[in-house]
Amino acid sequence: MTGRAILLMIGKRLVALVVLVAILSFLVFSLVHIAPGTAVDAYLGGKPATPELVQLLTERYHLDEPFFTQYWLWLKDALVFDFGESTLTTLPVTDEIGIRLGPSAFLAVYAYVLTMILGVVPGIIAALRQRKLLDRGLVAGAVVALSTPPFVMGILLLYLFAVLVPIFPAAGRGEGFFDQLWHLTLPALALALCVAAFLLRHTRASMINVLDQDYIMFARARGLSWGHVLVRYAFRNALIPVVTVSGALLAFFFAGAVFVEATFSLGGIGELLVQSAQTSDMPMIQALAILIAVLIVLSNLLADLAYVAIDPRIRFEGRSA
Amino acid sequence: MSETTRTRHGRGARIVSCLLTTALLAACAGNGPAGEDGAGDGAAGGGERPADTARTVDPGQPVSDEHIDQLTVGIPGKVTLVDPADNMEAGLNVNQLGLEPLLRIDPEGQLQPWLATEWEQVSDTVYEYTLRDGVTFWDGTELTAEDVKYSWDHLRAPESRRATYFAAVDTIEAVDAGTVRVTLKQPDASWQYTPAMWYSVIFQKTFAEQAGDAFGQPGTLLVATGPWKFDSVNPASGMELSAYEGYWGGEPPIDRISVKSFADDNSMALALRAGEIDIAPVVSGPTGFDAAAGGNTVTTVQTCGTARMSLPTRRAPWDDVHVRRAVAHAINRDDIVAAAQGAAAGPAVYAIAPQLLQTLGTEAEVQAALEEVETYPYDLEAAEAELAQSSVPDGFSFDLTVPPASAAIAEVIAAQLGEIGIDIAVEVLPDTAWYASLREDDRPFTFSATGACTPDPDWDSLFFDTDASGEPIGLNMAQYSSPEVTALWAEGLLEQDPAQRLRIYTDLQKQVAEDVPYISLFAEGTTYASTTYDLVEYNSYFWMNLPWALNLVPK
Repeated sequence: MTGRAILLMIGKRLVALVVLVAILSFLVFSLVHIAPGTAVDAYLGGKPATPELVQLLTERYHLDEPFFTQYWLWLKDALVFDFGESTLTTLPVTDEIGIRLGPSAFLAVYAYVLTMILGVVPGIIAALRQRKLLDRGLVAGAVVALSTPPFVMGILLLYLFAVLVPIFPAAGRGEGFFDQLWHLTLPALALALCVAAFLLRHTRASMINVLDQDYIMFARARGLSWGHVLVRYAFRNALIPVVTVSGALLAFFFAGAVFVEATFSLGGIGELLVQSAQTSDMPMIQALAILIAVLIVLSNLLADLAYVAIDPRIRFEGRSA
Repeated sequence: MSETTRTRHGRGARIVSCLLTTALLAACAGNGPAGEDGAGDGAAGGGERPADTARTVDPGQPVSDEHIDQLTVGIPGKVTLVDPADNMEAGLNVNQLGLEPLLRIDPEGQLQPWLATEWEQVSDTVYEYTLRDGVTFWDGTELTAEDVKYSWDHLRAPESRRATYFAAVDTIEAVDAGTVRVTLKQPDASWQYTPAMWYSVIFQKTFAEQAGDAFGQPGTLLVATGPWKFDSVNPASGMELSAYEGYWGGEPPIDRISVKSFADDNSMALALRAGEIDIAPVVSGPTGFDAAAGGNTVTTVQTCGTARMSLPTRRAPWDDVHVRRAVAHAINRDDIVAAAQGAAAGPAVYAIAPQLLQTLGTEAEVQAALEEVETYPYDLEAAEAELAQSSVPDGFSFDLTVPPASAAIAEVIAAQLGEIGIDIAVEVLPDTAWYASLREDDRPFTFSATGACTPDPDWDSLFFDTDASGEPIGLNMAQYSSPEVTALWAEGLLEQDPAQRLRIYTDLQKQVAEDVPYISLFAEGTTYASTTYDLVEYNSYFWMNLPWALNLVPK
């Protein structure tokens, strides 16, 4: 793919993103009116409905305007990241998300990197040592890790490495890069192990499949070194299905880490999502839904760009070449 | 009347949100291992525990002389902001380290001085408070009556979560720099305790005016008088406090307090075990916490909250009083207390918690009044006899609808009612759905806890709330409407003489006991956990109204 084609692809994806977010924003805005009770109830957040407060909320959220006017006013604020105030805490929604974004992103990236290292490297080794003791051991270990949900793994790691042998902290998120790295190692491992085990089996299967291909044999027959064949031929081809799987992982780690966040009391986005759903905190639900949609689209775009980097033959947009 | 109605209405909303919070936390912690040693079993009055001893030092003074450089406090939930008009959840337990009320309530429920040295009820509706000399804010300026007026006006503004506690107030005036006068719209005997509660704390007017909308939020915070200054708040992870050297009670005994937020009991218990926190002032599931924390960490005392079962009196067959009495006789409270995982401090049988009556008479007088009230002791024969007289002599089937945190207790209740032929299916709803079911026209057969309280018997009136026409509203889950009872609640607030009030509430309890809209199950406990410190006067449920770290003593 040429540079221009890549830019075109990115451009198209971004346009799709805008359309998606526009539709989604309309749906999440409608939530306030679809939810049981009146729109004022949705913004009351458990406060007593005194006439003064109802009046105040009606004015603040323009609830006496027609529906589409309300949507337009809401959208204008949302475009500059003003989603109103959480009905639970009365803090601006953007502040609440902002303060959790850093640790959640750190955890997601950390877990992602660990997943890749712990999944891909042993996967390749297992494939190369097929049916040997090392392969059997790795696959058996993967089965155990795969059957252990992250929150169980979290509690196990917490007990082993924070209580019995206290080398990592039992809770909290840390400040600054190295402190965060230290605080988030156990949570990231807990998140990563299960998915890494899956990735290990996936990589192993993919690698075994590629190693059986004729072109590997021909490359060897042409006298290319084994290392060269592995890296240039086998590895790159085996990686494509792996990249497909990993595309959605980053967004998943970001928003789906709720159990691990709870186990280690990290105060992240996943916890905020569950809490806002449990307390019907409408402004928060709206902002989070949009944030997560954007992240999913962007992380898939990253995965697609990774495809192109691995295999330039891959085309996304018909015959553009 | 509309004013008192509104009061109860709002209180109900707050209590339910507290219940929800507790339920959420308990639900998260639900997977914890159950401990066998009943360390969370200690009811109030157990004797020599520091938690059961009263503060004997002067106001503002620390109980222990020991100097502590750094105290790390673990709390379930987040401190999102420090504005006392809006703070929620865990913030309620730690904001009092910096924010102080005018008065204090001692374990006997009596008012004692704090920021105010004197208080006087001038007439049925007028109260005056004299401020202590030499109290300064964290910036060194003096506390004045203007600050008190500003704080209370802020707390009773319509958008405040605390507005309903001040619904009886007509005006608040600063008479002079050291005197505050409160005028009520109508006599309200329960007002006397309001200036001693966590929701009537004082902060500086000047700073609040400058801060505007950002007041109390993490980047702005506030300025108050307490022994520990708010240095920073992170709504996702906790807060930092440091000693205010100019504190009116003398230099605070702890230099720095670091507050860490935890997602659930389990994670907090493991942090305590790993030595990362020194004390957890509030633990929701004591048995599970103690097991995860390694044992001998929790201290539980009894509160004035009552967990009660509510019988939907307008739905068949509950509309038959014999059915309700049969159920009351069939309940074995000891088994329910055992199933409460340490959250219950002992059985409860009255509609109004006995602690709420202690300010109305001597122990003997209160005891004599309580003896007049029918309590339906556990008696299966009496239960069967009542059921035989009812419209459903052979029993019936019904759902018991509860939030997840109450499922274990609900199963025990179902088994007990099965003994007399009532077939109960436990229906567990998510917290928000359960809360919504409480507002439906057909109220569920359910049970719930009360949470915090003042020492006034009117506190329990919220479960009997009715509108002007006598129709049940708000948290009146049993949909119980008795003109006599409604009139007695109103009379109890208007009457100022304690002996008369005791009479009124006794008559009220007798009527409620005859009608059985609710069945009290257990006195709620409250629990702290630490391996290094104890909290003096924790048995006073009002510990949370004050900078409670002043009550810390080494174990």
